[in-house]
Amino acid sequence: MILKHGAPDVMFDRGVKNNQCLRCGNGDKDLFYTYYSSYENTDITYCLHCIALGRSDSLNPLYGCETLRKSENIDYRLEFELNDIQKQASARLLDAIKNKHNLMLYAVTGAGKTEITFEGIKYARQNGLNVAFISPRIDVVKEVYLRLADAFKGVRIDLMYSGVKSVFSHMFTVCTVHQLFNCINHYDVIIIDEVDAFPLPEEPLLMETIKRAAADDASIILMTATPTSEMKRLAGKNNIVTIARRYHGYDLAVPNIVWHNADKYIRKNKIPPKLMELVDDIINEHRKVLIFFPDIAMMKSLAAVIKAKYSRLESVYSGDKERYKKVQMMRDGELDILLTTTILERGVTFVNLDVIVIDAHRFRSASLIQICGRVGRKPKDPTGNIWLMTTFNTSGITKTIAAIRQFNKGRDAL
Amino acid sequence: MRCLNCHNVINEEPTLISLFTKNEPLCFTCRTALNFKYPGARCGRCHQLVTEQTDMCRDCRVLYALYPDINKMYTVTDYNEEMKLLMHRYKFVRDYALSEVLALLCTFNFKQYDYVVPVPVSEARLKERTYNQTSAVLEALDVKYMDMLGTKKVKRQSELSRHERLNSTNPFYLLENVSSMNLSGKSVLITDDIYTTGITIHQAANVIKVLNFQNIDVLTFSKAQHI
Repeated sequence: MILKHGAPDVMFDRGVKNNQCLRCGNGDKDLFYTYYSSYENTDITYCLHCIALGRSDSLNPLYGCETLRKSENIDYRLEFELNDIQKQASARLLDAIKNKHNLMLYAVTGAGKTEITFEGIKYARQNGLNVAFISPRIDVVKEVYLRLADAFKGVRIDLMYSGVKSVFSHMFTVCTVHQLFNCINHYDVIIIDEVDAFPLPEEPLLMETIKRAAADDASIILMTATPTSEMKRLAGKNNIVTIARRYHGYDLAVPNIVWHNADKYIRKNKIPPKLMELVDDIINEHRKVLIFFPDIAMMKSLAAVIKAKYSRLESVYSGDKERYKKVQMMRDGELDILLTTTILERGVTFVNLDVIVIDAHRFRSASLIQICGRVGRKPKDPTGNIWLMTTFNTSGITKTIAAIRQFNKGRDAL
Repeated sequence: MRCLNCHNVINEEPTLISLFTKNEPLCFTCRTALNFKYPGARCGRCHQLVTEQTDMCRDCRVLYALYPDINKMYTVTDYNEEMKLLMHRYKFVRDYALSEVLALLCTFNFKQYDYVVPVPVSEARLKERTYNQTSAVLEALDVKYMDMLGTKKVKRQSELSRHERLNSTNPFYLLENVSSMNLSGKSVLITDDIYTTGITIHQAANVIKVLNFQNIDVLTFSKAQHI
């Protein structure tokens, strides 16, 4: 069913019942709030977890409509042909949807994951299955929507993320995970891109939301370059498809380690000398560079001193209002250097890019693998340089390098 | 403990002081973002940002000529983006928990007044919202308040233009139980959620002055800055 404020039919007579929110499934007592309403003369309990979608409380019913299924004769066009590995993966995915089981697509960064799903989506929609393509990240949602709309010309695709709602039928939806709160037992195929991105692993409730939104015999397709053990369990041992090669066929760049205590210099409001050397070299070769920082404060203090030296430089973080504009400037070649936190670890592609990670010992290996995946994404610039600046080795760094080497040998790194 | 504004788990390092104080359901990031004032010169009366420091800006002079009843006006925060989101959730999504957040931001000495009076909301609004957003904050602050006013207002203030607001008839009236009181020599603080044009609060003060208060002050939780 789809819950919708203003719909005619009552789906649940109360939103919150027996310490459970019937809309989002929340049962964590810390995420409910109770107050006494003197107007209603009673205690009212409501759910904090899904408050952003309107209040679900112990007083008012939830309205909505039942799930509809309708087949649609859709087709897509690709500008290029899938290579053999992609074709194999696409066939496995189609098979999973036909046989209604879960699947994990474990693919290196830049493997062309999105395109692999098209055949499966086509089959699902032609057979009247409801399809949702979701991701925890808004940037990914926007990007995927554009690619789907481009390939499936003339097909109506719902797009939902905070603040944007363009909904036709709830049968073919691209949205962020949070938007699924209103859907229960509705989608037959759910494709999750970047399953391991914030905040999905941190908030187990969101995974529950996805399972709730899925129909009983749905297939959930998990796509990632850095799976957790829980995801492997959800997919099932025999349902993991590995793609160890990028679509352009080149090796992934292996990171270099630079032993350097950058933090020491940044604290003194100085530019770390080894960083300056690296950046100078990159600029001289007319390449661009993304510099990753473990926290916003550190990035800001370096940005303040480094700006005086390099003019074509900006910094971005999650709360930055001009974030999308600055990323676009980088894409357009107006910037050479972009300082960033982990927000740009996924979903962005720049040409002629190198990457430097400051204090790499403070990053998880999933993050580092994604960061390393930023370079060499285009066939005309298939490699790049990665420097991990660190004061000591960590298991995260070792794992990252090992995983990339395994991929390059053509094996999966599970 | 979770922050009632962002719902993240509050995981702040304990300090010697925090060990002995009550845990507050508001994280440091949200507190900083909400407890916010734009820099710059302000009107000494309504706290509107002005180009040159003044005791009374033009808007205040117009209002003062119409309703010269208020002595002093106080405000807690500026109505920035963060506060706007909070107020929307608090008033229209009915996230009652945010009354606690507003209360935590509001460090004001209510004890100096004999009476604290919240601006009322109309019956229609109360039915929708199930609470008066101003009283709820006062309750969270443990401030004893007294309902003295009623309102005949139908439309939302935020749906009206400044001109329409200025020309509207005063929607407030004294509740029956207080209308015969004589409170000469007493002081009163009228509280409201947001100060936008100031007309609401001036109209409320204009009605309440009939009770012969010696001093009428005003407190709003947030001041909208029209720049």
